[in-house]
Amino acid sequence: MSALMVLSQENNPYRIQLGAHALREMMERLPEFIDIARESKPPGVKAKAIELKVIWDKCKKKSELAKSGAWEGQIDLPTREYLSASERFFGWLATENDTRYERNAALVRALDPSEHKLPPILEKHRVTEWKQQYDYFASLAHFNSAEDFESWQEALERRIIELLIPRTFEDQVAIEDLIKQAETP
Amino acid sequence: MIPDSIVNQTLEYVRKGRANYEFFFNRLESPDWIAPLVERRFFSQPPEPIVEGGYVRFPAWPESSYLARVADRAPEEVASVLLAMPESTNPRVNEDIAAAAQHLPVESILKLVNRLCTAARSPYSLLLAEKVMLVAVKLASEGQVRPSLRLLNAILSLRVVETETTSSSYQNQVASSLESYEFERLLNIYTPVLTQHLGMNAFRFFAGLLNSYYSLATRGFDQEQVFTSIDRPAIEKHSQNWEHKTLDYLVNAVRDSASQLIASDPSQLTEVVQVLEHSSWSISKRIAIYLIASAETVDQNLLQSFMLNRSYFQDSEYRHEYALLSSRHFAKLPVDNQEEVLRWIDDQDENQISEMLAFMGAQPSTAAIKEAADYRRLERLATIRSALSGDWKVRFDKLLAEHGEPDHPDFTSYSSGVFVGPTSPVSEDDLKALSPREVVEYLKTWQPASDTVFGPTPEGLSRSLSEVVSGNAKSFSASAAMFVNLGPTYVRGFLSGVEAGLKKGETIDWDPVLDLCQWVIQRTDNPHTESRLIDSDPDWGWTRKQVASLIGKGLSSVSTAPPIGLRFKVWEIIQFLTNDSDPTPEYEAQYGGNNMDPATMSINTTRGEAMHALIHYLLWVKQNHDDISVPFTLEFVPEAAAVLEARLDVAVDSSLAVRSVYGQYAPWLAMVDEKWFTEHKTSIFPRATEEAAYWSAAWNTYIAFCQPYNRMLVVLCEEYELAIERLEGSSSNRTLRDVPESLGVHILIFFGRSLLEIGDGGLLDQFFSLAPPEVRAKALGSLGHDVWQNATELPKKFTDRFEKLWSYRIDECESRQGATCVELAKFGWWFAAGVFDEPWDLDTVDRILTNTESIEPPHLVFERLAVIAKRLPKRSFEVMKRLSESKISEWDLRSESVKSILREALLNDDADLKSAATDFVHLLGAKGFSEFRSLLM
Repeated sequence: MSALMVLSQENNPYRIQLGAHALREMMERLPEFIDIARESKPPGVKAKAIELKVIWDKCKKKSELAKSGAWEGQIDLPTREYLSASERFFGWLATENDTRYERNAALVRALDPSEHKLPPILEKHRVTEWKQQYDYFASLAHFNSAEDFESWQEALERRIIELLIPRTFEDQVAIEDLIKQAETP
Repeated sequence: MIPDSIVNQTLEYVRKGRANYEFFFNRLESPDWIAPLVERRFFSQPPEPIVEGGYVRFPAWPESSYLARVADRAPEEVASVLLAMPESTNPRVNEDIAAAAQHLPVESILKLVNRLCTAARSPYSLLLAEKVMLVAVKLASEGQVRPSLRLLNAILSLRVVETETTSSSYQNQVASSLESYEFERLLNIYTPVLTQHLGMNAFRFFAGLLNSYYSLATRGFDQEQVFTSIDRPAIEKHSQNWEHKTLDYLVNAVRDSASQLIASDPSQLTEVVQVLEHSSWSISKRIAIYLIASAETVDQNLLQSFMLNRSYFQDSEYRHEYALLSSRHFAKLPVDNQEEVLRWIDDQDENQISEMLAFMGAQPSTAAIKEAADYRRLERLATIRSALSGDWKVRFDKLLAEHGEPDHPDFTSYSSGVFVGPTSPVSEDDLKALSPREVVEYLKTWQPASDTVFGPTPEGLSRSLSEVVSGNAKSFSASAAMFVNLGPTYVRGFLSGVEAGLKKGETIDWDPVLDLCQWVIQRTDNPHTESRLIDSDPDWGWTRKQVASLIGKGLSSVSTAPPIGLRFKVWEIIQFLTNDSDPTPEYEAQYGGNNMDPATMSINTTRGEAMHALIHYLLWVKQNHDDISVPFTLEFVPEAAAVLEARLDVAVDSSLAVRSVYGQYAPWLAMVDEKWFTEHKTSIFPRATEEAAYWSAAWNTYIAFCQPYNRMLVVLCEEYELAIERLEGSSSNRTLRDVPESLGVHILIFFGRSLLEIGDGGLLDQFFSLAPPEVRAKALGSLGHDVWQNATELPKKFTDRFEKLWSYRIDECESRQGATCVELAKFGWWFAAGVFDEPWDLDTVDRILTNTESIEPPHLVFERLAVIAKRLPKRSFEVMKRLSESKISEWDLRSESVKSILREALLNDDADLKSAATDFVHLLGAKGFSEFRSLLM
């Protein structure tokens, strides 16, 4: 609702960005409303990067290698601590992507009324699409380019309506027609 | 070639949900879709089994089903997809692969053999076995012997079943990995076709499987102890075989495969027999003998090698088949060979016979040994009687005249039936034909054999007697005096027959019957009188209980009761039996408690039955009280009142069974003499903690057996209160398990009759505040069930009060947010009964669904909604939708009632309703319930 309201404020110069922010929030919080067991939101990339920066700053301050200005010589304790922290950070970053995928997949599954899952190939398509939409609105909320906003907005609306108010038998009539078209010599 | 645009457009729909995905693959008919779908990476990720909470599910895979469906039209393409597909442990996927494989080119099938073998060995083969079998048949028909046999090995593999080994076990239990019926079915259907294609290889395979059977069966046991003639008495179909064991199915397969080969080419008999004779197990050799015996023409050398094999002649393992062989082919042997066999017949080993007789407990005298040897000769000669001539013929005839026709000479032991229970020496029809005097005479003279366990017994005869007496109770009762001096088994049978006659509505001559009863109660128990006889009463105890039962039954109905003039004779017997020692405290301690509730024990013991008879006696005397000016009280039956009062003293009678009788008849005791009942109420239902068991025995029996009579609410109000108090935190460790629920039903019915009210702190409030949630739920559900069954007969005033009650319960639950409200779910029965106003009913279901996870039973709620939908389509649809979101099973939702409700909504003029119903139908479709599609067409 807040997205629709802000988008309707034609005099608001930031209406697109604020609308995108509201849509991203809605996508982020959707699992709460459809009863998906969800762990508390893990720390984001920014928070993790700040943690790493603290160690980096300490390394720069205390490492003998830093003092040389060329990072030459045998690895000392501050440098070792920084390298270890970097390894942990990039490891986390890799799994964070997996976790995020799983969260989105759980959402896609929960929105399908059938008790049986979509096959992985189709589910992946749906999850990727959802992520792309999320990333687009997240990026726009940070004042990146607002190009194609309307088509992204429309696609998201269409997808959410499909999920919440399916037209299964109409889809199946369409599928039947397409099969007939394909199989008729 | 399907254009990419169509494929992509179709997949846009398919991606929307599982239902569309399944619909798409189930509708595809053309193999042209394979290539574009492969290109889009379909057919590459078969679903694995899903393990959930100790169960395993095998999801169907629409993609593999499609391949199986089009494999016959595009074998090469399907083959290439299947070969590229990762292996799966999901049997449903493998079923599709096997189904498709039957249509593939042989070289492709060969590449799938390993995968199919692994799949067929899975413990969850479901329908896979037959599909793999068809692949094996296909390979066999294409001359691919080894791959075909590999598949057969995988499908029909045997295993040792893990069972507890006992000292009497002589071999392991061996079974197929398939269900027994499936194993039998596959062997029956496919043995002929496999033999046709694989010839001798099929036969060798089955023979090998039979060898494996015995190798596994004897693993860890002494192989010398294997007697295949016990496991399978005859190779051919025969009444002596069990014919429903793995072994039987295997023997049949080997026999039938071999017979088929020999029928198609008789010269194969020699090779078949060689294979079988080469086995270590006698079962195979027996099949060989059977096949030779069955052959029309047999090579003379082959015949001689078997007929002149002394081991086959002598060993009891081969007796049946050797007898078969002799009877068919003895005459074809050369004379000198025949004489050899006859010499063996003549040459009976007397030492062995002597040992056998001694083993069986008989005296191995010279005469007995000769007789047994002659009988053995007779048995052997009987199998070749048509070929005998000259001296041997004379000898056979002589033996036959001496011993008669031998019983089943081709079997060492022959089973003629099973023991089913006590048997009578005389049929009921024969007994019916006798007069009472002749019957008594027969009972006096018949003696059971002392040396048999399975023959007729006194108990068997007693049961026949009982049947005969029940059919002619009038005549037999008049002759009761004749049964004096018979033993307890027969007297009990007689009295039981008289009682059965009363139950059938026959009238009897009571006086002589009561005389016999008096004679019975004067008998003193002498445990040694008849106990030496098998299957007879050890003493007079059971007969005394029968006397109490007969008198109680007689007094319980005006039509069967004795004339009142016999009152004192009747009383003498009852009084005597109320002093019987059965049940003793020890007996109650052993068999009561959680084993048997007191009420049940009361009708299974003499004193308990006598107390039942006493109550019927009271009522009988009351019925015959003809002075209407003086109300009947227990003062008119002081003899019974004295016993009733005495037996309430625990020092006199500590039996819970006896106490339960007071509870069972509490309303009748109160009706006969309410003053007496009130005065003795605290003795019948003692409140002291140490006597709690007596309170429970009387109260539980009252609640379980008695209707909620209005007067009893007044008389027993305090007991109801105490019972409710005692409900708190209880409900287990009771043998009459429905007691708490029945108490709840009493309270609810009293409320329905306006005897109890809501909110006055009375019994109703106490019940709902103290009873555990499940007891409240059971009571509301139980009464709801009765209301649903008898809805049309209930007064509106009664059901109207429950509208108020349900509102009270829902308010109560709503006020205690988060409290357990399981009882609300039981509203479903009341809703289904249709006893409330429809709008109120619908609102109430709505409210209840806010407070509980479900409503019971959903299918009946949907049924009623379907009825209401004709008048209130919108509300019915809304409530149905709400219910569909609660915890109900898929099958409750996929009902005709739900369809009716939706149909009403879809046909309605209200555009919003129509639109909401359409959305809901699509939602059901998205769940995969494709049958709802027709509603939108």
